[in-house]
Amino acid sequence: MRIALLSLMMVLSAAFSEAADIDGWIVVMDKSGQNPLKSHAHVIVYLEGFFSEPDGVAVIDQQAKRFMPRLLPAIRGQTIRFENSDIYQHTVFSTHPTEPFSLPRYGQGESRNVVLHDIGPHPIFCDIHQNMIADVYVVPNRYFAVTDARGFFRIADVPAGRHRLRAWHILGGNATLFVNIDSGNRAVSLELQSVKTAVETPVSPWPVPGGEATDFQQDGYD
Amino acid sequence: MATIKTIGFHFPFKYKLALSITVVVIGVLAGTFFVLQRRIEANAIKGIKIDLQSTRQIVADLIEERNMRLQELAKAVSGGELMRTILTDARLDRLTCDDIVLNEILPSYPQLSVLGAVDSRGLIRANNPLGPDIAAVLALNDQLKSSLNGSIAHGFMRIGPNHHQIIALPLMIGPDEFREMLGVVFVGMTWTATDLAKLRRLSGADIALLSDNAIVSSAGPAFDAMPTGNAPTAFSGPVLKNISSTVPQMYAIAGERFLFLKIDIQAETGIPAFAIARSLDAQLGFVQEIRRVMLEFAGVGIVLGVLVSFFIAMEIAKPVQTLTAAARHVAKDNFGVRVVVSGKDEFAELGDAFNQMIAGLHERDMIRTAFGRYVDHEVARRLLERPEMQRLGGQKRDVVIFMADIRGFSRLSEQLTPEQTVQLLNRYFAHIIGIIKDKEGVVVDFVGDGILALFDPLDREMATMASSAVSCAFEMQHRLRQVNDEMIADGLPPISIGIGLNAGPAIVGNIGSKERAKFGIVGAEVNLTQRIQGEAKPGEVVLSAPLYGRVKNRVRVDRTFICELKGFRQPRTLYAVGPPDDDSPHLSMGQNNPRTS
Repeated sequence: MRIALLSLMMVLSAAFSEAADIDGWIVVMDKSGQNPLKSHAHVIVYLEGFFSEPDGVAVIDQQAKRFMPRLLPAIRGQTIRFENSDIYQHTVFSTHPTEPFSLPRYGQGESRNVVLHDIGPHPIFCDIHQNMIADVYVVPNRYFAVTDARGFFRIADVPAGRHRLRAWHILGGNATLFVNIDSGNRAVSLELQSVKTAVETPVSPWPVPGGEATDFQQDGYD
Repeated sequence: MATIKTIGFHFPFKYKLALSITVVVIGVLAGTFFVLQRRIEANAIKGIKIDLQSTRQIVADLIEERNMRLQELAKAVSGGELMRTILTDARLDRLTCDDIVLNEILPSYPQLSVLGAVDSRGLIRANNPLGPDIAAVLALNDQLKSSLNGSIAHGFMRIGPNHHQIIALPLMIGPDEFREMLGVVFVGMTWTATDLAKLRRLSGADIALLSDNAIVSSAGPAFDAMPTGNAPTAFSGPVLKNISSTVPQMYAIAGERFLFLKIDIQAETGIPAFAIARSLDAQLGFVQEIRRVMLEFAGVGIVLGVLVSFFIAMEIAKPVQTLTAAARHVAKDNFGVRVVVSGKDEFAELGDAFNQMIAGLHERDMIRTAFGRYVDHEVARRLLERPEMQRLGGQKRDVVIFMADIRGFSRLSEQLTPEQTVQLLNRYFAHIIGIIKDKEGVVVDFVGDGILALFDPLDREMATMASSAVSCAFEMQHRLRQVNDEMIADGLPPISIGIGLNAGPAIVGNIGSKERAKFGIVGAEVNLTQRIQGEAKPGEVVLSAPLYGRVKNRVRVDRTFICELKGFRQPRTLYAVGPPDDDSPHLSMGQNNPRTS
């Protein structure tokens, strides 16, 4: 009941106050904390403390034995569609401790839907192909963004107020930051230290190869 | 007299020589053997070092072979779904994970002794039941911990009583451009004591499997004294840390010398660190054997050298001793001794020379004994060669007898001091004796101021000796003028002599006793000569008739007279003669003087 009231107040305050954007830069360091990763993509940044209803379907595809995108943000309760554009069959499963799921094998052109509620990362694997990995990150509301390779993100139309910003990287690094939104856009920066080890094929972040993916819409939203 | 001195120890020459030769023999033997064995040892060590490098490669190949098998197995294990499930499914408890490893995966890989998984945070998710040690081992082992950074790690690990070769393979997942690590799968194979012994037998070297400068396991005496474990010890740590990976280094372990070589972990091949060693003393056993044989040879050589050098020294010293003994005999007037030095060397020459020296001394001694100093050496030698000189008694033969006497000497000597008398006689005799010797006469005796001399023809004509004797008399009278001039200058009175000469048979030879014999002449002719001399006036030379008959054509007769001589019944005709030419004391015919020939 308290949460519902708080959400209502937030929505009302947003309606009556001027919204602003949060622009930010995320630097992801490796496990040692000494060296930045070559790519600062695959970081989800979102606001904590209130919920919003999902809108639309979050889509993750399977192409050439890989999940696309690698990191899919999904609003709590949002339908997540696992499409299969690959020529191979795949079996999608999650080993999430409280909300695991497993989608029996299906082939090209088919899709399966899942709805998740637990905030946080849900690691996704294929039963058949050992190299396939993805994370579906369930966020509480629509105020989120995923960084591009440069580490840039933008969360648009953030209502005024004091918000806690959380960032999480697929290698386990995470951080929080309080952001006050009153009038005008805010720029923030965060540094994350990885928990896991990764091997990156050397690529130059300038220009970003593969397109202009800078916000979540291009990361899988309709 | 000049004395040549040599400085030496009071030590027999033969011992000095033997000692010197022995020292040289020992020095040469010792030097040769020392240099020889040092060279052999240096070459052997060089060869062992080269050999150790080859051995390193053999051991590395054998370990690498096992490493490659381990890598294949690790990839196979980590590629399976079960291992990914262990590392990704948080719902699986440890018991289930261990069961999966032990009963679901390991049965397919019976070669593996170690199988486990560590998540990306370094927490062990599962392992086959090796006990809790493995967590501590992994936590401590720097090499294996490095696998958590995404690189494959190799090493040796001791878990409980067993030791294993381990590969820690990061389990990476994701597309090629971004592969993330789920965790680390580690697999291992046991190195049994038999395996190590086999490796040692194949390579011929002592082997230690290392982990962070700690000996995980070893085979061979080089490492037996070093404790094993997963962490360096106070004993093994410093040694292993200092061992070079390129140049074999020598360390003594329990009194035995070993050459050590360490091979650090090789990133390219994944060969974990190990060390090899080879016993230098065992390898140099043959050098020790050579040294032993050399010492035996040297011992025998030294003994032989001493004996041979002593023998040589004795051989060299023997002639010296012989010569010394002979010299002592000669010193005691035993001239009959002769040395015999066989061979053709310098000592033989010295022996011959020594014998010649003894013969010369003997001859000189005989001459001095027989004739005193007043005879020509050649004449004396010819006299001594005659048989009668070898026995007592002498021989009767024709000779010319010569007698000279100072006229009025008794009265003169009364006027002179004894010193002046001796001075006068010495000067007179010095001239007179010299002339006799020159004319090949032999001074037989001195009777006060008188001289008895003999002119023995020996193997020559009597006429020749007669001429020589007469010529001697003339020469004496002539020389006396010069002598008188000198004596007057020295304050002495002038003297005059009368000379008588006779020719006839007389006994010539050794006269006297066996203990004391001397050359002499006896007989009536000698007495006659004395009487003839008594008839000579001062400055005259008087000849008997037989002698005059031999030289009458070569002399000038100053007067002829017949007189009775005491002790002789018949009167005798005597001739006072002089040289044909008053200015020259010589006879008219040069051939009468043998010295002019």
